[in-house]
Amino acid sequence: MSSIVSRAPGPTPTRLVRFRALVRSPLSLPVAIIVVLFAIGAAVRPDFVSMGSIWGLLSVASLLAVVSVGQTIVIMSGNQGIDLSVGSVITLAALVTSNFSAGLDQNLPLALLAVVLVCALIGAINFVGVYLVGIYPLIMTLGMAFVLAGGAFAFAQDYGPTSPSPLLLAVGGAKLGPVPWLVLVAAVVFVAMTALLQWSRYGRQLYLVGANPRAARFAGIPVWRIYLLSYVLCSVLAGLTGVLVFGFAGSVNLSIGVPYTLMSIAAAVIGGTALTGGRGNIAGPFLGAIVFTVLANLLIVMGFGTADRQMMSGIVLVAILALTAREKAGRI
Amino acid sequence: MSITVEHVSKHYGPIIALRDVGFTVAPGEVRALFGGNGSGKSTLAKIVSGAVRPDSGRVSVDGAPIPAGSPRAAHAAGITTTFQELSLLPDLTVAENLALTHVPRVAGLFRADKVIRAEARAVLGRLGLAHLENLPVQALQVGEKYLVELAKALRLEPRYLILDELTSALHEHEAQLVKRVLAEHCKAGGGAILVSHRLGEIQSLCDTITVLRNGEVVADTDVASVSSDDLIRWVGGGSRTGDRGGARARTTATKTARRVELSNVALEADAGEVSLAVGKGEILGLGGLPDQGQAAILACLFGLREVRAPARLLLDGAPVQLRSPTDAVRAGIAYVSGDRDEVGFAIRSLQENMLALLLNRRDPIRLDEAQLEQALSELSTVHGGLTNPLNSLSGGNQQKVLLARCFLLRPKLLLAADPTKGIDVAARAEVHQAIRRLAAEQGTAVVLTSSDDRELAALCDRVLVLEKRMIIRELHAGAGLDEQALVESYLQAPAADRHQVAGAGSRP
Amino acid sequence: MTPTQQSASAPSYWRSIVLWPAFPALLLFVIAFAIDAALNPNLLSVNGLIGFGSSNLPLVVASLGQAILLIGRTIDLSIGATISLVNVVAVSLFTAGFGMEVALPLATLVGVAFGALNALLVVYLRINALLATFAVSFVAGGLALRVQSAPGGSIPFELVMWMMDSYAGVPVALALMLAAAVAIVAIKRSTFMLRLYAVGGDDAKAFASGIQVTRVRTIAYLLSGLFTGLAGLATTLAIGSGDPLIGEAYTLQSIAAPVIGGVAILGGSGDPLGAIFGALFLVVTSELLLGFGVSPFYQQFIVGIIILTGLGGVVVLQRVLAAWRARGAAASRRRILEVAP
Repeated sequence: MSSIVSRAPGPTPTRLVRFRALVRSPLSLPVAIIVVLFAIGAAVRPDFVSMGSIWGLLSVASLLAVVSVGQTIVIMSGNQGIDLSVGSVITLAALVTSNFSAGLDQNLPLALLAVVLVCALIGAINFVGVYLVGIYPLIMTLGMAFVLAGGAFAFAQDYGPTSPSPLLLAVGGAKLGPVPWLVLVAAVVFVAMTALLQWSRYGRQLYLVGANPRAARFAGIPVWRIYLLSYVLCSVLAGLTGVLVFGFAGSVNLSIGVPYTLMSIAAAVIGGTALTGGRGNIAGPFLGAIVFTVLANLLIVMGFGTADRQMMSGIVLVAILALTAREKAGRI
Repeated sequence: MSITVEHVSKHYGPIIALRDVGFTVAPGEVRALFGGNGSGKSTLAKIVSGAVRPDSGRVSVDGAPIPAGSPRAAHAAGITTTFQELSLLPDLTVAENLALTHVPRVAGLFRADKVIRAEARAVLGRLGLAHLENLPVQALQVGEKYLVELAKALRLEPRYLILDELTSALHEHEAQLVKRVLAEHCKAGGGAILVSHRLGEIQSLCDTITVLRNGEVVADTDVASVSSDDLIRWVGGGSRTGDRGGARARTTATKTARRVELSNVALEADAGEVSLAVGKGEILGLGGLPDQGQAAILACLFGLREVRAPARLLLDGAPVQLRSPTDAVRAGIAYVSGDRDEVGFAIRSLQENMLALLLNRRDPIRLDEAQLEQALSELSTVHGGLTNPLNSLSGGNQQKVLLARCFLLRPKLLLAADPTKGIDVAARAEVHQAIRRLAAEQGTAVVLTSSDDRELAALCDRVLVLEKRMIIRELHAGAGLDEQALVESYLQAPAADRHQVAGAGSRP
Repeated sequence: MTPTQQSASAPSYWRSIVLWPAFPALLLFVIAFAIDAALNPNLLSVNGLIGFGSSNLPLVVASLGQAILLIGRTIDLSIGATISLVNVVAVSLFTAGFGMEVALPLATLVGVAFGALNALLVVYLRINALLATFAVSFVAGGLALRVQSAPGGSIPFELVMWMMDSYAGVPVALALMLAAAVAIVAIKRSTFMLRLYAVGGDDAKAFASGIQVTRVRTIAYLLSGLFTGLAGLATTLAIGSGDPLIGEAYTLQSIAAPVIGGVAILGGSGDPLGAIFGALFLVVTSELLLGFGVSPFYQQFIVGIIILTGLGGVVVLQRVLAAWRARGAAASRRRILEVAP
């Protein structure tokens, strides 16, 4: 940028300039993909784009969206931050809810409290492993996923399966007018998280810590606090997802959370969250969640099985990484 | 079989490290690359060694150009190098390190361990260090490491040796070893390139000399036909202005109160103690060759390095304990660096960058956009809007933003590590003016390090020249502080002449 | 302890053993094994050793491959999924009528192919190794599910019997483990290995020494892919059938084993032999838990905690040691290609 030319604030930008800005926005990519996918879906099966079908898609996407927001926050905190334990946390949270509520509405507050406390503890342990001990986030959370899967397995032996309480079932399946409760819950999460990122001190410090932890330290920001809050928030959001998944699915099994791990990362990345940290927002993972839900649905409609869908998720993630996560040449 | 270096240029971002540089070395010739800080001599040596790829120009041996940017290719052409930063792997043994450049094989794929060790003993023997052969490099003394680095270069029996500041870390008897080896090498027909800032050594070891200043060749001649004074003059730019020609509108009488005192700090285990003080509104520079303790002093003042008894840190007369940069910022100490990766949030907006320092106070300072714009315009910062990311600005303007935010803090002490690194002349002048204004108007004490001696001379009221973690000289503005004097301090300072300066806040 | 020091005999015999990076893991394994044998004398019988060998062989081999990568300061998170893929490919080839001269090598090649894929992504495209191999694990896993969607199938009975056999009291499985150890010792004596230690320690310094860093890392991935393929074969011979999810637990354990065995997680030091002891220690510990009456349902949970604690402990130890060494080094620590202008 030339230091001779100064750009003083001028007249209102023209429509063309605004359009260009919109196109360049990182959110335009997921939106474009969603449109394309819907077009393909409609071609394959016309009722793919019916309102009923779309609300159904949004319900499922809401589940992924909540956990993807948590994943986004951890990725944004930088330092190669990532949380591979979210899938296991979802499973565990569903199990805990199932056990503590035992199908009764009046037990729900207790169950939710238990979930929040357990998830906060898990997030804190992840933080300790990553920040205090110094294990790479990817390996620490992978280990945590392993531990939690084992823990879930052990936990599940001690009690019989229960169904969700009526309230939880309603949240998971019923609607308020035309809008499913799940979508409303996700919307509340959206608003709350956006407010947190834009207006709270934590939010502002999160962007700085993620962009440059050293500079943040030199600016006097207590970096450790940001990391701790980020990992805790991510686990708690994953826990919330687990509760919702339980209500949605109506039952719990040990692999219920498995697909969410990779999907939450993919949703965050395609929503514009930089894997290096310091960049991202809440709308991104929401749109990303919609992208992958629509994609998964489309693949099912087109007749692809679990195996192919998994392979494709892997290939898509590799493609996204090849475009966004290449490290600098470094030398010379 | 000479080396010919032609039209070599190299830039790092906006900084031009080398501009159209060239020289030749014939068999049996030892050429010195001589210059002060930032002259580009080390970059040039690295280009010839293949470790750094030049933007343009080429290195040829006997007329045949060597592929750029490949130490392997350089080895094949008969050029080996000792690196200032050492190319030894600390976890491997000396023998293994020596073998890396060309591993002896047995049966195609396997290491010939016996040969590796025998070769190591042989080449180390020339330096009297055969006994080190099986030790891991991290167990060696500093001097021994540099000699091993030399052995590694010698092992390939090169035609040309490049020695980059090899003797700086050596004791006298070790330096004699190098001298002997170099003589043997030349007698056998080899040539050498010696990068050094030590005049005495150059005069005794080298035949020819290329003097560099700010990336350009200012002299290329025989060592025998020039005097030390000539050489120093070429490096330092020649001007001997006892006082600054530029306008410095300030009175000298105001700086009687001491703002910062750092006393009895040992910057390194087994090093002597250092003390200094900075007055209110005083700009103190830390000069000398790079890595002589300047960063350590800044670290002590910013809570990055513990200041433990008997050392003390006083701020406005009261002792402070800084356990982290958070404490430092809260105490009113601001840090800015020319390395924007260290302090700038490149992808975040100007607004966020500017407010970053104010966020974490117990009573957060809230500023509106108008105040931020005001701060930026006081530095003549050119920008396209507060919401643009920092890296959308030119380097100079980025620096101004980072400096402006320090001013918003109204700091008691400003620590500036090479604040104008890599920015153009005009922006540099504006930054200097802003620092002077901060010191004059707000009484902020400023401690500044810089790799540019001209800057230190032009900006500072006082400069402490550091060498090996000790203060060896103190120069005052208006009483002998200029670029020439600074250059002389570190190019000629005899080893024996070391003393502490109990830094007073001011002297009449 | 450096590569050449490991192969030569050092003057102070006992000192060099204690300083051997793999020594703690060896000790842990021996203690755990002794306790296990005391609780379960059957372990020391030929049958017991056969069971011990065949269930441990896959992790041992996989850990050796991972150890090579860790020394080179890189990693592979797709090892588990690739093992599953090799397993189901082998079973499918047998089911399709191919003999073992075709099925076994081809299945192993699958491992090498994925090693090559990882090399392409990590070394040439320069994608972060953790993320790239994590993504590849889903490709391999999905492919495994495609080849065979549920556990089943079988391999020729003679192969299963061979794995369960013993010659002169020595179980085949243990002999194979020994062969793996011998192979890694041979690899340790190669010129490649010395260069790998250099690359893993500091690739800028390795480059300045004339080493072709990309080539060395690529070979590391290919070698590791080979070991992964062989680990897949070992699994196949051990279970006698195909299971597209069999490899899942291997990924984390293949990282934990070398790290516990003394290989630095940041590369450049450690002995890959330690991976063997680390792997054996992990498996024996799980069996010990069963022996102590811990419900098998808690096994994964506790093993996971042991792994995390082990990893954490070793990482902290390595950091403390590195800081202790760094304090002694007075020489300039700047990276060789960072030039002050």
